[in-house]
Amino acid sequence: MQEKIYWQHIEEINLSNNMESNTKEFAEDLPVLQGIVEPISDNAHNRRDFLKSLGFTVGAATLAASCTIPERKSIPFVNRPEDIMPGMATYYASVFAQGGDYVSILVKNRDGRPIKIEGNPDSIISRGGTSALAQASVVGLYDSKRYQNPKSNGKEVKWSEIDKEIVSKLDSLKASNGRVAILSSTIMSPSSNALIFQFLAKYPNAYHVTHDMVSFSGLIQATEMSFGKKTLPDYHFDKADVIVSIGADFAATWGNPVEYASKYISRRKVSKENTNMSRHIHVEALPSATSATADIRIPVSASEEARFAADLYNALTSGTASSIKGVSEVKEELMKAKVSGKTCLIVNGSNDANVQVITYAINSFLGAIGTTVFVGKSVNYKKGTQAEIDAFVAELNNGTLKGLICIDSNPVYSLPNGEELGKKIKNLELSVSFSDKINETSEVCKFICPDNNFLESWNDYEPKEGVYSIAQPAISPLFNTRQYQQSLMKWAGVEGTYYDFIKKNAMAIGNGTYHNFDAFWEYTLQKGEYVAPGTEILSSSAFNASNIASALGQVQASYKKSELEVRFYQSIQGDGSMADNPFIQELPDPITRMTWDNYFIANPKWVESKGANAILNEKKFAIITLKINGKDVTLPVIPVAGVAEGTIGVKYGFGRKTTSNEAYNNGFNVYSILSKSANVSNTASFVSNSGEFAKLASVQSYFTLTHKGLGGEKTRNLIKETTLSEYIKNPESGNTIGGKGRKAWIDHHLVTLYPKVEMPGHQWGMVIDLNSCVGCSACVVACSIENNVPVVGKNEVYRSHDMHWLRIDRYHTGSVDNPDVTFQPMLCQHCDNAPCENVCPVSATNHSSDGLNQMAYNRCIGTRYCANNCPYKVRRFNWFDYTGSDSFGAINDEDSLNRLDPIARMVLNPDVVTRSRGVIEKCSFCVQKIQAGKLEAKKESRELRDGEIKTACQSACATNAITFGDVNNKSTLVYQMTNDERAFGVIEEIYTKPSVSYLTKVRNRDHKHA
Amino acid sequence: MSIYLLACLFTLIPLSGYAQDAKAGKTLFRSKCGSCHDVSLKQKMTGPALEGVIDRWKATGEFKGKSGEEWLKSWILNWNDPVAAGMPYAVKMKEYDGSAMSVFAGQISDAEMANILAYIANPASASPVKAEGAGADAKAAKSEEGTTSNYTIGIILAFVFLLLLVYILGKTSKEVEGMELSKEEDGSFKLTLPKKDKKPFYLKSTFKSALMLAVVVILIFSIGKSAIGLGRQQGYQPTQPIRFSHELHAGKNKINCQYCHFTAADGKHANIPSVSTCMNCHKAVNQGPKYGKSEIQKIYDAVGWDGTAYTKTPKPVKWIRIHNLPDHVYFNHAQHVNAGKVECQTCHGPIETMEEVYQYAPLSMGWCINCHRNHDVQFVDNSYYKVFEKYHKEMKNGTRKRVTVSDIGGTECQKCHY
Repeated sequence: MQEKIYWQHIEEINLSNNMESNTKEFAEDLPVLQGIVEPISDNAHNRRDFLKSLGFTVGAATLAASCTIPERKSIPFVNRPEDIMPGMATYYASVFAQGGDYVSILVKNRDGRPIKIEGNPDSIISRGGTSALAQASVVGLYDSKRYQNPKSNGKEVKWSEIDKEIVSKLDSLKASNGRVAILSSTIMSPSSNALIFQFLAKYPNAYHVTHDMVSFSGLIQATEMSFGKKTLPDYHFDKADVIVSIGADFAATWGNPVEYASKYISRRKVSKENTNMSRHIHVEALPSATSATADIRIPVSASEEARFAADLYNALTSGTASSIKGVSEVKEELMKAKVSGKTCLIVNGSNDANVQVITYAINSFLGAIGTTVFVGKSVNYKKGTQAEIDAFVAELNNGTLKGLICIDSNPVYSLPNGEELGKKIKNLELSVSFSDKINETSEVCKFICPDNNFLESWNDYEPKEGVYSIAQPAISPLFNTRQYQQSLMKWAGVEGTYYDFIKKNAMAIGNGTYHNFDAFWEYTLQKGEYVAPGTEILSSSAFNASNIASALGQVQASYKKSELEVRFYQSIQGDGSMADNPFIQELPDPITRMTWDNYFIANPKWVESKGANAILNEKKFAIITLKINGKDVTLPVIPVAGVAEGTIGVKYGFGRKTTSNEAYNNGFNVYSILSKSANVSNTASFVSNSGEFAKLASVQSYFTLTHKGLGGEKTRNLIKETTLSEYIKNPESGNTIGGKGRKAWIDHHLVTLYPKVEMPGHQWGMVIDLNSCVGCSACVVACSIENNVPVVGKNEVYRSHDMHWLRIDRYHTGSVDNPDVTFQPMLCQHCDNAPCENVCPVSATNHSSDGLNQMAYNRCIGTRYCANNCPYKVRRFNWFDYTGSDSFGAINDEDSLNRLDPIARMVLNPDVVTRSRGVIEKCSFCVQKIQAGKLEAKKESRELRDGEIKTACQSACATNAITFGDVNNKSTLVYQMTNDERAFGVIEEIYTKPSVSYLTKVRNRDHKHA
Repeated sequence: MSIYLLACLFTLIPLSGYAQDAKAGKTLFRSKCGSCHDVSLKQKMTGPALEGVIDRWKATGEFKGKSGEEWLKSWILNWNDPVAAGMPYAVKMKEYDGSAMSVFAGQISDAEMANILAYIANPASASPVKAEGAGADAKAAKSEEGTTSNYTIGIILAFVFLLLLVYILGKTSKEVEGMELSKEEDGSFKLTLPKKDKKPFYLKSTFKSALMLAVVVILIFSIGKSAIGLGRQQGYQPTQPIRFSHELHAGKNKINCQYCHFTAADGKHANIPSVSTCMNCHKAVNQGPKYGKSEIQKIYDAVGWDGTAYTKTPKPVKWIRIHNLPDHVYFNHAQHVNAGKVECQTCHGPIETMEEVYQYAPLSMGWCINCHRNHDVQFVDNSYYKVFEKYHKEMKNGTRKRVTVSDIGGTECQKCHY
């Protein structure tokens, strides 16, 4: 098999001529000759500056030395709560639910503070997995820019006063029968829904509108049309042999990705014993994280994506030929599967009810309804429909609406023409926002009744019929805030606390399940989820085919191909409701590897044709203007391989104008130009290329792992992959070095004169399955929060100073128009023969007897030799004091991200030291967790159990892509995986002996696609 | 010194033979019963005041062929037995305050029981004994310390003497070298002594440069030493908000360290106990030997106790932290106390003799490392260490005698710094 060439950026494709210019290791030139050849500029440091700082340092040191040691207080509990041991973590089951995601979580509490979110392995929905958003959510709690008191007309008031004012307004509106809308995002909580129902009973002039920022209205409507039930369907990706996704990024952003990814990947793992891998065909206009794991990816334009289901249905049922590329191929695949009795599953990312009706029709035709797709028990991730919104907006516009209460919703930001609506909201008689932080809507609302953070609140959830979970507070409210439910209870005259209300509601579910209700309550509280008997029995209503014909007609009519089409999409950075979370802003997009912004993504050929090529080395991207849905949108354009020609992508969730910090207000608000929440616009046109460039904070491009292989003649394989059929024939297929099988090559080449380093006890190792990684980046955020890794801000990322200990490298191979994409989580490889250790002049980085590449921060003098010598580019330098750990206080240029705020610092993990300015840091294999795990075993006088110690990235992963353990112990899973035929080390041919192994990616495809 | 120790031993022997069972009983009472029953037997605590308890049980008379005292013994071992037997007084006592007494069967021998009862019968016979033994021990320790420093002084003196000797010898030999023996005309010999330099020694350049060198060396040494010591606070002894005496509680009353610092075995911190823990005893003990009621009143103020009930607003005690490790060091008590079986005194010094606690150890990295080098891990007793197969083999075939903390990687950076 011919060696594949992997590339990260389109410039690299022409390896022969363009490569050299692109292999520059550092983003900035080192100032070696400054002052010698080049003249020192005026603002550079000169001799007097040197003397000044010398004087200051000496003076400060003397002062510090003569100071007495400050008196430190130690204040014990008056009455120690029984389950709290100072210095030890406790875990409380709770729920993270937002924008359709439902993640059952365990909140790690240290000394009364929630500091980390872990997945709840007892959950039958999220199954121990988490998402990047769930991981980052804990930071939102410690935001001192949250509303600290209720506000009436911009003035801070007492709760009793604001209650009085609002109730009198509500009563007067009730008397005059003025319409009041309660606008909320999807509420999965049965108690909250019951409460709103009671509120509406008290105020019959009010009504409830559900508005999801990223709408699933089309799918809900189609389910109602086809099954008579207003719900989402229940997809079972683990039950499908063949999955066809038409523009649905289900493993990373679409629906409830944590659940879908976990089930989907359970059928994508292969071993010698289990080769029953599902086949995944992905049809889409824009490359997504999910399609990276697909076996076959078919790029189509945005309108073709919308029409694809219709053409496929026609092809399947009547053999009609289609103008869309790929329809016949998918048809053949599906027919083959149908004939051989394989189970199929079609999902569609469109928000058009007609498209979804046709998708149901295909599922029904293939026998998927009742085998992989179930419409029976309701699925409550998203509930909003377009009709409700349209009615609400009409009432707001024509003045019939007199009052508005916003629950977890931000219509001024997330509705088309939001700013106009904002002016209307400002003039309403009653406008209430429950937002806990300032946003576009709370800014125009008269009354602000700040809600608690979800970690301060009681709540219950019913993500799916039969699954009941309780969210419990992990901390008392930090500020003078109140749960919105409590506020509603007050206004509706419902007595008691919301906690009592939930408990009362739970009686209906809990009574008769255990020996008494309290047992049910305690058990559910502890476990996080209660699953009603019979929930696992799945059944589906019958599909009603009567709407197919009209749907087909409408789809064919509305999606005509045009020269330029725009597809709006969501990335792992969410829908914008968490745009004020720095960890989310700095999370690189898995495909574009961009942070802090949104932008147009386009096919490189299209970009070139418009003369808008980017200067990748300088991270500069041309700014262009497009007319979309009749409005001019100006954004930088990024050439991205795999984007269908003639399609432009732009993602939701950016362009916030009012957040707690200006640093978060980046990019463009896509919602403002949407036409009825449709995620496709096929009437866009190119307006102009401004000729100007924007500097974007991209990552990965600057530390290209060198492609030059041994002797420079070959490209080096950082990614190794094979096909399922090859794998069955030879498990080592694809796992080659220099064209030879890996094992043979290693045995023959890797010999050394040095004695083998002995590890008498443990030897920690990690295996990452490339087949299982979907690029969702939950691990990246989990790592940052667990290890106090700072967020550095847009400008610093632009200067290539990002700090992530774990990054997910994205590699392309194949053609620019339709490349294969592979994700490779890259972290410190803990090389047993580490290049970094040899060059440290002070031995600040050295090797431990259990195989860890240790980093002693206090010993580091900041030469950065190690970072230069690391072939994996995983070492990070603290250019500033990001976490406030310097003795003399922070000497930062700026702290626009409020990192040094005492409340923001409360999230720091006390078991991991913060690093000061001028030292290198990197992945430690979560050594604090290793030590804690060992100690538990010692305390119980027993041997360490396999899988007992889990790194932060491992426990965050929804798909179990990461395995960690002791490779010295032959009974561990990690030992078996390390010695698997699929295992390889990245650039191990240079004899670094990495402790991290990767398993080759296996794609379930024939050679013709390879 | 050894004579002194021997003398101590002799004084101890008659002491230990002196108070007989009542004294031993008091000690036993303190450790076994003291957490629920008042040691002075006068106050009601979690358990009832035990003064006259033997008489009370005796007064119940014979039941099912056993005397009241025998039933009392049976109650002490396992209170369920007399209750199950239906002994009326026991059934009545079962209702006492709703809290059940611990079961001591198998934990108290008959002789110990006799001692405890002897103490209860006559508490006065145990009280006047002073803990002279402990005092002698402390003195012995002090004298040992004194000898150590005398020894050092001796060595220094010897060294100085030797230096002097070298100087004198050197000077003499130089003088001898400088002498000139010349033959006079008269045939006699004349010894010419070398010409003496007129300059006083302190103006000589050799002296000046030597002095300069010495000053520089001393300066650098002291600067370096104090720089290394920056932030260290060995001997730190702040005045605490409550004059709590470890000497009284841990020393004289022999309360186990982990009775109050109970998280030391399982937790990261040894934990300053909450005042509610103090109240286990101080509900009854409201007067101390040294400060009377004033210090104990501070506990009551903190916990909100008005003498009969918790009615006042509690105010936590703001203790001053003595042992402060820098943030970049991870230290876990459970690792040392539980897994390593290190005595508290190893790091905290003779805490049971401290009226006011001070920082005994330097808490420097060198001090940590030294212990990690010399201290054996619980290699055989703790099953966790089975993972070190190689060492187990070596121990079996006799090539290895011990496994220190450092052998299993305990002196590597990231065992403490992360």
